[in-house]
Amino acid sequence: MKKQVLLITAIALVLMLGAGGYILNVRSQQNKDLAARNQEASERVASFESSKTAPRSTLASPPEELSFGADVDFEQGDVLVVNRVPGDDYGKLALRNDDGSRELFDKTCTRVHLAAHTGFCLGERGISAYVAEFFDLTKPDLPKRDEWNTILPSRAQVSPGGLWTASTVFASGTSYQDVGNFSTFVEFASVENVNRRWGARNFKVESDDPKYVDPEGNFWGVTFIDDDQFYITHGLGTDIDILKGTISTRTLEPTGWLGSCPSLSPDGSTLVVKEMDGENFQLVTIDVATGERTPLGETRSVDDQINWMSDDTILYALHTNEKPEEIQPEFDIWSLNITDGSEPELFLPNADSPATYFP
Amino acid sequence: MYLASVRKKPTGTQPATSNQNQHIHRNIFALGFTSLFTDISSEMIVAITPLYLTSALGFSYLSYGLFEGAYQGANASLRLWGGALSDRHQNHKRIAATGYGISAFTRVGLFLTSFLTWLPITLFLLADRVGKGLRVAPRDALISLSVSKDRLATAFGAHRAMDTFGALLGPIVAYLLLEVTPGAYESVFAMSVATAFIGLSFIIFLAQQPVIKTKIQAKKNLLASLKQTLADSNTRLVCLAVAAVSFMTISDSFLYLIIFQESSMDKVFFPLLFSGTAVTYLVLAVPIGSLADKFSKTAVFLAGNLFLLAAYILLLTTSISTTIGLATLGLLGVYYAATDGVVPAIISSLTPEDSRGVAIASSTLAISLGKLIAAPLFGLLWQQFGLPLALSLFSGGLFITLVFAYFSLSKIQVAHA
Repeated sequence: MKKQVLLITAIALVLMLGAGGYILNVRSQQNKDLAARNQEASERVASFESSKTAPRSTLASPPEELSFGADVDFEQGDVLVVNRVPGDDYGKLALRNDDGSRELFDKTCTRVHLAAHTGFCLGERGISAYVAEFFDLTKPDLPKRDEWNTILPSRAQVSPGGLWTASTVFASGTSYQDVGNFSTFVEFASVENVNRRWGARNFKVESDDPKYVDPEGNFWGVTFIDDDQFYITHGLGTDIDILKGTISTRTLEPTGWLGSCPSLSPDGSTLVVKEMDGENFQLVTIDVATGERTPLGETRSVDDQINWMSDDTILYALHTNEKPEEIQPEFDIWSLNITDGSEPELFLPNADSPATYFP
Repeated sequence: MYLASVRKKPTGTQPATSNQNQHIHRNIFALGFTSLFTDISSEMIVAITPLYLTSALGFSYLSYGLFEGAYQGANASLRLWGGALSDRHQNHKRIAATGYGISAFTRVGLFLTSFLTWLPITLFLLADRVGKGLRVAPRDALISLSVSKDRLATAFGAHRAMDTFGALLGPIVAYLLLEVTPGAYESVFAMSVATAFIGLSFIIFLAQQPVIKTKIQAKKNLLASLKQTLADSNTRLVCLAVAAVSFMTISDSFLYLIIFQESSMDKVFFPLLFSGTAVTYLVLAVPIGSLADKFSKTAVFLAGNLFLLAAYILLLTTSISTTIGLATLGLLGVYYAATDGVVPAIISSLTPEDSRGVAIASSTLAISLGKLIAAPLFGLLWQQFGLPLALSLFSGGLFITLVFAYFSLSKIQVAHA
């Protein structure tokens, strides 16, 4: 029996060494690829920065990484992004300076948003584990502050006064492109009390249309009007429209507007939504007062909830390369002035999830 | 006296019983490790195959039930064939090892084709299922032939615990590998090859084919051996009882679906549903098995089904809270611990050694036949009349079939050999 056990142990050892060696080889190949991509992306970022004429950052001796509260006072128009330069700093929050350079923060998120002094981060923590987390822009991070477990992050929003957050996460599927084949979950959370959280599914829809109560239907993509009211997307298959909701009464009512992932301008007059156009997402503005729709001059497919930098300029992210990478996919942020008919401009390469600060 | 002096001097030489015991542990240990590694290997593949979930969720309740039933039926026929083959050749080890071997080689195929598309993966998973169907009955027969009758349920329990442990580890290993090499499925396939062959080496090099004491009568074909097995009234009674009960058994996929859809449970926990049941099963398989050996295997089987009935009744409560969801999973685990290994133990304790393979496969076939009807029936009831009525009917039905099973099983004639 001893002989057999020795034999099996030897076999197991050989097999595990073989598999282990193979896996380490895959890993080292991946690291090599990543290093090459890091090099390439860093060069892109540097050449973008040198093309800007504005003066370099005025911070006397910028620290290696910034902390919220301790190092930065946010001013209106500051744009917080998620860094998408492949490598060790991938996923870190970053502040875009006017000169096109970036300062990294010591916090990692997949999706971020901010308003008043509230930051809201949807992030990945370890093996397929995701968290939603509030942070205070005026205070350095406290450990384990107000976070809860969630699933694959998609959209994050903070209400204008910083009192409520809304998150959209994927329960199954990973993309809105796959019509009828994904399942999403919207959750509102009170910043004052993290235990006050409501799923959009539990809101009462003031409509007789059975599509709003169909279990196959999904809610996603919230944009806040104030600290109580919001717009939200509902979809059943390809039938996708926008509802207006109220947190305090937990009610929803159809607006009759078609489109998804709305985003409301700071002055409250205009929504930008995604409209499915064949395989592509076309950005369209909706005048809140009249319902008038105007397609925007961005011809590429934008699968993002856009961010308003001001009342006439929007920001959104697009994949850098035609075929998105499996590991650490790269994105660029583009800006578009929606009033003067100009072309989209590269706002920041290798960055994602733009969030403009409004006090 | 010569005889007395021999009996008085057991020191130095191994007494026969202890020799027997060593033999017992060796096969259970060997087959347990084979199952553990094979399950790590197959469950890590399942964990990364999106096909299963998307297709399962795309089905309507009725068609899902039909699919489940058909799959169980095909699987049961393969098991019967494996059992008959191993009985005829009086070599359970060889047939079981062949089944494990087929599965191990499908892993190599998966690894080599992982750079192509999902199509070969589907084909290889199919071949893997064939290997699995083939090996189950001879392996269980091997377990039953390796221990004395009063330890059957414990032995099956120990084997099932190791098997379940492997199934739990599989997805964890897969996730860890994808953490080390993100997006590289070939790493998972490589590790799957290694673990499959480690499992195979345990059955090939460590397991032993016990000598069958009863003479095999003649080389029979599948149908003839099945006929002979079912001619035995005890086997018939057990098969009838388990078939009746499983006719009113809701498949776990449905139970998980109910908990997922109806409960207020945090959706984050959904992937943990299976683990909750598996951990309970894992922990209780041996204690409940030894309880069955000491007390009564049939009584433990019936009591186990009462836990399933309790789970149905819990799900009938108006709102399924997280606590109720978890309690249901626990009850389901107890049910598995008290039935999954106990049924082959009951069958093994009643049938001659030369037809264990077919006998054990017959009981699985009986269970599958019951489930073949139960799954689409439940799906249909749920779709047509809603969940509460479907659950109530199955609860009532389970109770009635349990009473029937009690009377069937109490008719078993225990031979005093």
